[in-house]
Amino acid sequence: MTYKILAVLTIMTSASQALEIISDEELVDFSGQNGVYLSGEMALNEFGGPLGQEDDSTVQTVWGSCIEKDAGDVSRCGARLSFKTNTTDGYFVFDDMRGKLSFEGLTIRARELKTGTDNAKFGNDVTEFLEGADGRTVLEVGLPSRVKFEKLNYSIATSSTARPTDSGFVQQDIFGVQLNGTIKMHGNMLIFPSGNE
Amino acid sequence: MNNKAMTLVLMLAVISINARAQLQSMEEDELTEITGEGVSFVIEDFNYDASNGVFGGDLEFKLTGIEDASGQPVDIELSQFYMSGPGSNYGNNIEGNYVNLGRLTHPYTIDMLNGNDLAVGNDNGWYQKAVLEVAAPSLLSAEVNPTTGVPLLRDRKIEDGTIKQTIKFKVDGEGKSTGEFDQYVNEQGEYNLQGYDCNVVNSDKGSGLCSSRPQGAVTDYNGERMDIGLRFDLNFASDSLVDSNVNLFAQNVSFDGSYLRLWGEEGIDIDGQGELDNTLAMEVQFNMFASSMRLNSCDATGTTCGSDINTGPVSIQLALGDAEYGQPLTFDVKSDGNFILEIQSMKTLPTTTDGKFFENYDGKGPGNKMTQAEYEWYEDYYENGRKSSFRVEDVTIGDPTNGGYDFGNSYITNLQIHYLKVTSHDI
Repeated sequence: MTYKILAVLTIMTSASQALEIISDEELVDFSGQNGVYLSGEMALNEFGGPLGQEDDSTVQTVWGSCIEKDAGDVSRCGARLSFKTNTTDGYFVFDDMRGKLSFEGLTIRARELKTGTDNAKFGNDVTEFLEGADGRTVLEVGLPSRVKFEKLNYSIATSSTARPTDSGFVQQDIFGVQLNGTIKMHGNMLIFPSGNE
Repeated sequence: MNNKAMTLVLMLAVISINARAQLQSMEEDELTEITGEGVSFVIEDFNYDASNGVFGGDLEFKLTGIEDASGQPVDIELSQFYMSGPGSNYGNNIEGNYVNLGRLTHPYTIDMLNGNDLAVGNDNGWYQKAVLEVAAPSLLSAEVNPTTGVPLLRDRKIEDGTIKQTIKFKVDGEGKSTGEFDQYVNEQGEYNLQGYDCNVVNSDKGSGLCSSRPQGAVTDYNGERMDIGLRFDLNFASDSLVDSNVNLFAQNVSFDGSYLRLWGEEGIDIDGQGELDNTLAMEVQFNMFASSMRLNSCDATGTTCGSDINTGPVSIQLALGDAEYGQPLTFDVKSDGNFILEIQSMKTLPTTTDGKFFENYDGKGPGNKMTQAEYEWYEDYYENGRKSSFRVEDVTIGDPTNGGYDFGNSYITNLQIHYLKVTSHDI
């Protein structure tokens, strides 16, 4: 992942040396097709991390790499998010989050809805939606056709302290989720401001 | 990516900087139309399929950490979860079967609301507060203007702390209320439904309250109600329990009128320690309408199944928390890591003796035991407090014409929660 980013940065640097002026005539031909097509991959604590290596011995027995966890040397290698929504004790926790998520075909673009082209797609609601205008632009997020999970784990828990290394730490795991494989989906999410009634 | 393409991208960046200089000021009357509270979204041509190898996919979705009574782990594996257009035939027709979720004129919304527009008067949890709301498409009332799409109606419509519209209940032969929902009526007692029947496929406009349309309401359009299916495998580690499979399917489902509201409350004792706490407070309305449902159990391959439990129309309207009457839903974690989910107990009037209810109340209305004001306060609470209803029609097990059973209809209506506390325990 890191190497890919470095490669792109290198290309950008060399490209910037070759900037050329585009004349107005050339620009007129450029229709400015908007939108982006994204494929991506997000790895979260896939191998655990070095967190804790420089810390005191208590921290080192709790956090470590996933190899250390499998060997039983540490108790956890996944990421943790703790939330507290009030002034009392206790946290709501997403715990042991790790694994990989990749997707292909997420698109983002501005789309103008018009009665002629879109009315049938929305059950004749477009005319009313436009409120007399010729068209209305919305943000369209095309859902990725496939989302692939590789050993994606997380668990939902409630805990007495924010971190497992804090004193008095007690945790009740409610359930855990393990995901591996592909989800198929289809659709465009259209986003627009509300409240302009 | 070659140099030429990169040049174009960089040029576009330059152009966009130039374009910024051309920002135009908006007229005052243009600005008044935009209040910009939140965002709305709809999903066009949606379907979703998470299946394991048996159902044509490769997903392994496991829920872990659940134990049976003897402490042995139970693995719950999701073998299929789909959302698709109508006519999915229990998950056999998902590919290319799309549905829209939400309408452009009645979308899903995420909004900051003015608490003063949500409840009557000023003695409630929302007064002078901003309330974050995530809401499904609205239920349509008589007063919804179809050209503007306003307003979002829940059980009543309120403006500036005053009720503009209420529920009318069905009446029996003697003219007494049966407690069963009939219509929404405005201040003049008029009603005129604008929506579609929430359960009936091929229903027409004016037949009900739902804004999401069924298939067939508009020609050649799949509507906004989806088919949902869930197949679970339960795998027990203990030998005494047999691994099993459970399947749940719902047809033509919409969630109209559902919402989650979040705001901050101060001065509630949510952990039972005696001190007043500041907390996130919630109010939840979960509505689910389906034209039919099926529950059954099959073998591991999903081919040989037991008797089906089939239902006709299903309506679930679950109301949790009631900010208007001082009963928000709160969530707390104790110092031992266990949680408490609580609907705060019903508020008592300051004049009520020792905070207790009227133990010796004779049931005869205002009089010796209860003042007129107290009587009216409770009457208002019982009439207008938030209530849950559940309705399942035409329940059958197996084929009733061939040895199966027909259980008819089941209703629970106007269930009002006075107090609810759910806690987790270590077992």
